[in-house]
Amino acid sequence: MDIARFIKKKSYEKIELVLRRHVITFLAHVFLFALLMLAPVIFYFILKNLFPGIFEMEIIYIFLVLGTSIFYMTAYLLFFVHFLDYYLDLWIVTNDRIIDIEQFGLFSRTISELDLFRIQDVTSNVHGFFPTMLNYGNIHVKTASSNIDIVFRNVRDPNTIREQLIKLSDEDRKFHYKQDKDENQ
Amino acid sequence: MSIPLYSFLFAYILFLIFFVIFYILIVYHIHISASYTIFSFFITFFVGTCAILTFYFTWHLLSDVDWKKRVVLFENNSMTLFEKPAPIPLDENVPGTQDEVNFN
Repeated sequence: MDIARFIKKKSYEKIELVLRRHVITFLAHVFLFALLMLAPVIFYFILKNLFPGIFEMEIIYIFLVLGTSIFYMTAYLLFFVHFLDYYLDLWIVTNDRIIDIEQFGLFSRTISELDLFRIQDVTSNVHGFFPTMLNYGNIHVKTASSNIDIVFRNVRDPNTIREQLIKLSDEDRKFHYKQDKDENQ
Repeated sequence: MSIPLYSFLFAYILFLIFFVIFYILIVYHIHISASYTIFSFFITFFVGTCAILTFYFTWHLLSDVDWKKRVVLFENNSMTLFEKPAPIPLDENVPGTQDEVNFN
């Protein structure tokens, strides 16, 4: 399924931005995965040194092999679920609206939509050493109503995106104002 | 009570089924969320390959096992719960176990 079908793109709509979280936010899970991969190897060497003849016993050997296999498969699943959680957090900006898709684990997803002309305030912030060095941060988009506020979390180059959002919001407001004026005449 | 070794394989196969179901579910999520990109394809391929390799090495390491062999979980002789234990036979060659010790 492509993005246009996913967001049910209207005929006059044009997809301006498709944003995801910066890949650095996924690196912590990659390190955790690497540690989990090493754990059985370390455990094997510890067991071999402490109990040299343990692998000669057939039942112990079977349990260890099956147990290690199950451990590795579980680690792969955990890694894949974390990847899904990271990669399916998506912000799509068109010339008409902002769509915020946030994935929470495997069985939970929140989708919010916000018309561009309703945007009142756009704030970007970059906090911390790595965000400053790698230029990623959060963007808060606020409307007049307090019901829906959209937050772009850990996106790349937040200042440029903020400027683009303001520009798109102004253009959409002008378009809606012109439309209202034509309807009233 | 004893069970054949292949009983443990049933639990492993059940886990494999569980793994495959979740793997397909995650791939389905990626597809319906319009997130099917080169990066997601690479991660999907990487996880799938690792799983296949793990399964292959598991099968290879366990290929010499005689799965029909039975493993004893515990000794269950219910008669010993209700009867006096049989007397331990004395060994005639061991001194001190005889009724009379000959000092000559």
